[in-house]
Amino acid sequence: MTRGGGGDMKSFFRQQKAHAGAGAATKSTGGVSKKAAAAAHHHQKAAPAVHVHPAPDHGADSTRLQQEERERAAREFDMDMRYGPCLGVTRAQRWRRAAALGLAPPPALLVLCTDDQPCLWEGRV
Amino acid sequence: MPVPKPMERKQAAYSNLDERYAIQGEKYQGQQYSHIYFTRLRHMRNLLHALVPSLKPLLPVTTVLGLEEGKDCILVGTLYKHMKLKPSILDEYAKERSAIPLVKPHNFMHPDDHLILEDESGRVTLAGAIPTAAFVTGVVVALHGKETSAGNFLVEDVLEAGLPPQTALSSAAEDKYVVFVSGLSVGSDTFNPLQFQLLIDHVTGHLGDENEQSIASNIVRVVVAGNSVHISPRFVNGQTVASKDQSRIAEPIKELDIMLTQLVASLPVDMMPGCHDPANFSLPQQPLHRCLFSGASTYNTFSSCSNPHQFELDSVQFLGTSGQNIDDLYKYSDAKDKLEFMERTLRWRHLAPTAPNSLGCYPYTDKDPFLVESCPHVYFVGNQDKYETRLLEGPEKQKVRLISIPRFSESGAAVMQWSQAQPNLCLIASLQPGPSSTISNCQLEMLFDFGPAGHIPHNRNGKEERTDEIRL
Repeated sequence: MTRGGGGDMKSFFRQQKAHAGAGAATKSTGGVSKKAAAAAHHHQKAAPAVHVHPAPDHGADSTRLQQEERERAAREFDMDMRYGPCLGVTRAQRWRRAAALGLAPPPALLVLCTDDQPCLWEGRV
Repeated sequence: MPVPKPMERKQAAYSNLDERYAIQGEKYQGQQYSHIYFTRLRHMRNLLHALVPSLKPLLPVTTVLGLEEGKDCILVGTLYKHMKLKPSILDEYAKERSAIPLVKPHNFMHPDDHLILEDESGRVTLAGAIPTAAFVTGVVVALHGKETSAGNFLVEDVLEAGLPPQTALSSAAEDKYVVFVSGLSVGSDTFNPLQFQLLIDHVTGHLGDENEQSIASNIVRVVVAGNSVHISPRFVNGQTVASKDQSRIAEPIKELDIMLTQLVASLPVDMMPGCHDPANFSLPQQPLHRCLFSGASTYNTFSSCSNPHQFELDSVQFLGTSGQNIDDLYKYSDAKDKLEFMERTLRWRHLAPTAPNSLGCYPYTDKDPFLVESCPHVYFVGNQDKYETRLLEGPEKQKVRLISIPRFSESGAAVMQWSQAQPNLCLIASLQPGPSSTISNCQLEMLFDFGPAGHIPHNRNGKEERTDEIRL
């Protein structure tokens, strides 16, 4: 997922200009609106960016949804208190540590934790 | 004149168990100390959960968030001791200068200190039957009590993990000794090369008559427990060192190396770093580099070890440190002697509970190497003020010989531990030069300690000690 620089909110909250009604202005790049759409979906914001959809592309939709699901599951793993602090270790390391301590983290999560992927708050706290 | 029979030094099967203290494989990713506390709590909580039902059945175990007022329950968590006098970096920025005493007290205790129990869900202040003076930050305990209306947790009983299980000792056929020495402080003002040379001569068998030589031939190992060198502080206080002084920085180490070479040529030596040695500051201290001991490291009997150091000799388990953990406990808690601190660390099953709070420590992410998993047979601590020893007995027939090793440069004493089936005997050899300080006038005094009660008959010249009373 995106690793914004410290304090970069644009990756998950895209602010909208006042005259957002005109569709042409908001249809800047497919990439940006995709991200905004995905983030909006995740954060359940009724963001104006949702109005914009790229051309009907159901294949891309489903992979996007899958990715969101995975990211959400990974973030919940980060926030779960039972597995200890998440800052400073990669998700894979944290999963392995939890397994070694006998906490039985769900194996499905290990698939999500790609190597060297730090937690949600890395670089932001 | 009869030809003297050559004596052979005894051998013992040695295995070094220091892998858990090696930092070589660890990669620092910018993590903080929360991980080490988490693994400590997790590990100790598993242990305590297993122990609690046998001691306090029928009581529910809850987390701090799940506390209900007035309900009797068991809480497991890490203790935090809030200390008023604990030095804080923020004191420099305090507005009122008068509140902080200019002279730092050696012990930071204060009657107003209180304990707080912490786990992943929250913290709760403790009150009741828990002796604040005996505990320090970082100890994991189980507490039986109930929450009061004031929001505190009123403690009725404290459950520590207790001594860990111990492997049984096989009975040994012959006696073998291990010599512990610490605080040599080569290069300091208090260092007397004559004393150290006497020790070396005695251990290598160059001193004394046949009687003493036979005792020396039973020595299988020498463990140097820290603070072997003393580098003058003016070289390491941040100022640039003049070129003519640069060669003098390493003089103490070279001197130590020369003397160690004599020792190492004769028997195996374990060298541990201490707080004044050129090793890293935070625990576990890594072994001193071989290049420092250019003479001694050519022998395969020289082994540079970490601090803390764990090894096994003929199935007797040894565990010890150079003193930083006990000194830190001394600063933050109270006990009647250093051996009681050592006993507490074993009961808490943690060598250095104040790490990383007040004792420097490496920020491990997935383990806490200071947890004591199996009870040693001999537990030693170096660089203490005086020699003390006691036999600690546990509820499951564990027997630990606790040894507090005095600083050699101050006391001139090394400790010989009789490594045998019943390690309840300790000999201490004190090497003091005589009044005119020549070798011929030096006396070899041997004191014998007959176990925990410690009746010490003083015995000169080692003539009458070979009686059967010793072989308990």
